[in-house]
Amino acid sequence: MTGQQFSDATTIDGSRLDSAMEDIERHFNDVPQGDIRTKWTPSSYAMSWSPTPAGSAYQNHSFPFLKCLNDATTTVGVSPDSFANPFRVKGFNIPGVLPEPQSSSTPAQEMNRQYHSTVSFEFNRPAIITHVDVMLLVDDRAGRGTTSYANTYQYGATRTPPGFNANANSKDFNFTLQVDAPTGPEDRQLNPIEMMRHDWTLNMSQASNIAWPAVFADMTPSGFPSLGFSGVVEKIEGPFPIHRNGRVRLTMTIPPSIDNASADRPYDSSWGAQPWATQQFNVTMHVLEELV
Amino acid sequence: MAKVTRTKLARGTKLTPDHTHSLLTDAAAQMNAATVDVQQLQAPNSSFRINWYFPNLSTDFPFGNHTLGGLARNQKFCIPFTLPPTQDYFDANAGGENLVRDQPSLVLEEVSFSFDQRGEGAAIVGHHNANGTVNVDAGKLDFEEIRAYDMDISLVEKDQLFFNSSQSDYIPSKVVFNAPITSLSFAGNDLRFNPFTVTEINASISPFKTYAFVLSAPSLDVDSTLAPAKTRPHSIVSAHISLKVRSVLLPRDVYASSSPIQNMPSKDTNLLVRSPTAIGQTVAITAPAAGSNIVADSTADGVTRNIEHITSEFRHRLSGGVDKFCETTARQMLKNDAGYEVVAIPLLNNRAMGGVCSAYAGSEPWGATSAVWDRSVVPLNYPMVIHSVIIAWNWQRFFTTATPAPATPVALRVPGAASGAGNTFVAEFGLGIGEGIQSDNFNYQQIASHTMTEPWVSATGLPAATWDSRIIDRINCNGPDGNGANRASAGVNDPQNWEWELHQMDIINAAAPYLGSGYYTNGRPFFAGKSWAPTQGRNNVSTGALSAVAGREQFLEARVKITYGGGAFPNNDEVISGYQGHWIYVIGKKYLTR
Repeated sequence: MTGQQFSDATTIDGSRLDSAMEDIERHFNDVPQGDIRTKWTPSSYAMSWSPTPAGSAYQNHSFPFLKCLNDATTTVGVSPDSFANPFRVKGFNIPGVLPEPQSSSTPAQEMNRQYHSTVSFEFNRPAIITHVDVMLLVDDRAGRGTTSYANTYQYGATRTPPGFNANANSKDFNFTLQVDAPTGPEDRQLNPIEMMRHDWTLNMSQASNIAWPAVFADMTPSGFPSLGFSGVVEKIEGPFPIHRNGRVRLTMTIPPSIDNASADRPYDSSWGAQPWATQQFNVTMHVLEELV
Repeated sequence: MAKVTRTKLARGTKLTPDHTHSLLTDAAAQMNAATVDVQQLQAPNSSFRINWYFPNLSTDFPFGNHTLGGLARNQKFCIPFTLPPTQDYFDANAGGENLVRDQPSLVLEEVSFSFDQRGEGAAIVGHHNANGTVNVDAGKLDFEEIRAYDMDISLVEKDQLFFNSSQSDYIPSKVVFNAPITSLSFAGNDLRFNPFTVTEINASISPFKTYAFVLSAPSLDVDSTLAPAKTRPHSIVSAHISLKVRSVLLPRDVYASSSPIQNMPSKDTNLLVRSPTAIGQTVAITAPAAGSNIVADSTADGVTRNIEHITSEFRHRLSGGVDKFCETTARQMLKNDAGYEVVAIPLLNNRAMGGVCSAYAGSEPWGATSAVWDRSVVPLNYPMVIHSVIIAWNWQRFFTTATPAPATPVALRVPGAASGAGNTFVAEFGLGIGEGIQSDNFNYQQIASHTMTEPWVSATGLPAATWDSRIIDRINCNGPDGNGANRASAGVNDPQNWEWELHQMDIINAAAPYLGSGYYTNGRPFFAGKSWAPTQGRNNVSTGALSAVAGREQFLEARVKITYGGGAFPNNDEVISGYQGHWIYVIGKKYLTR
């Protein structure tokens, strides 16, 4: 608080004493932010939606999920000579899906059939992302109530990716938190990865390993049609520090659209032909920001 | 308590303890009592964010220049909110508001708007064709018509209906912030301004007014009148809007039996401030005895020794607040250690038709139950005390989309206007805390709820009293007619088609001492936060018993249920839920943390 130090048997004068007291007075009456241990406050980013259930006659788009490969096949009109970011997200490969466009004999294995949903944020001042909670909620697996979302996060009985048994639990959903590189903000290859959940067994993160009981204390409006909920709850705890003016991109990647009845398919999957529609998405990000 | 002051030591003055130890004693007294005030902080404000996420904003909203089904062209999409004072500062009734002198001011600092372009300087093709069919190229990149993203964002303000029930219109009266955005901002190869962020706005926000974020995107749709003609519909995918607002730090809520905080942890005498005095660890300044010498450091009353007592506390840094497990800080010196907080929770967004149109309500998730349902789950990672819960009810009209084109091309009218049975239209909202994630207990505890019935009465064109029982405001950003559900009626005295309504959702309350403050009857503030074993013990909620989750809450859940007579929804063009759904604003206090 002051640069002055007084010791016995050394000279002292009033000016130094007064200077020391002035330093302390000023510091105590204008406490710097760095002198506060608890200088952070949390904010919540709540993002959720219940898509139109798979198979509905009114399924009319995959938004917010968009094809993961940028090339002429996913472009209308004139394509540029080259794409800035053919693959715009790092680390989204999954078993059974090949990384590059393949020959016509195996078109269904192309990675470009996966879908990304990316939401971006900018932090003008340094911040800390403390939690990224991704919940893929399906209806109560006890089979009670009305079912709209029934993904079991398993591969099929007859056709699975290499290395997996029939009806094995799937590893086909990723999410990442990446920050634009200050020196090349639009070159996604340069993006540092702050967090990645990749190559994981979704059913190891079940909302609960037991079913909701027949009777529980409900809230109003009571009697939600599926009664309880099941699915995948993956809570990632940081901290992930974000630098000043950091541009953060949170991406979820769902597996390809797979018609389990088609001969031209890489594998069978409970995500089905409309993977954006087989669960309810709840994504929450918690961020600490400094006092200002 | 004011700032500390010192007695100046002028040249030639005899040195006394007043010149040295008085300042230190005053400083120690403030630290010991935990009264280091916000006036003494270089950064006295906390910030909070109002975050809205939309999976897509597309041309099934009448952003552009086509008029299928009679919707007006070039309509603006908006989302309203209000930021009422926390209950300890809330002093208002229908006669007017009373702003107290120490009312914390709110200042808009920053607006940020972002969306997904797939990492390219291109637009994303939308799914809604002008004739109502689905565009087969939806989601594809379009490098030719990036001008789809010529937009304009703004924040507008209006007085609240609650304070003036005879408002002649519901149109905003003031623009707080406006930013035209050229699509060139999103077209570059090396740098795109996405997120588009405007900082240092420094616009004052009133606690008793309604605000709305407004988005205009007139080029999003096909438009043959442009030169060259715009040939494809586009979509704003994964749109995220964030308003950063700062507010001076607030005193945190203190539990008392006469003014309880529902569900407050009972540990540390109901999270009482652990000041150095309260825990018996005071900062002790030893002043020289009368007549004794003032020494530097050889004795306990030495100047440097006592300076060190204060300096040492600063090296360990000052503290306040409540951590993520609901533990109050171990040794608190800051007086105000809470901040204003808003958690915006979406409901009924990203529906097949953009919103919910009565004719297609049966295709909604769980629609076979003759009710439209939705829920959002928000994990609790940091505690907060909930002071107000506000519903933003959406009436925004939209085009329907399917292939072949739907028989009812537009969601147009307010429930009842076509069916004649508006009195059977019921919307129920709830907010609760719950347990059940990766656990073996499953329960909910209600925090707030509200039911609204009959949004349209034929004789007046206005809602019934049962719909407006907790009305705060109506807003219309596309005046004078508005893009809200059409409520024109014979003999109508107020034909405006307002787009949004704000309603209070009452926090649970029974009788004193659980009656709190709000626009209408409201419950006392409600604590919500995950705990570990020591902080699981909680105070009662207003039922006079412990919360049904008994201190084990893991998440907030917002729910909505809409029914229309108890059976299937009428096969007509009524707006059951407006374009991109509703929002629940959970408003209260959060704590400083680390």
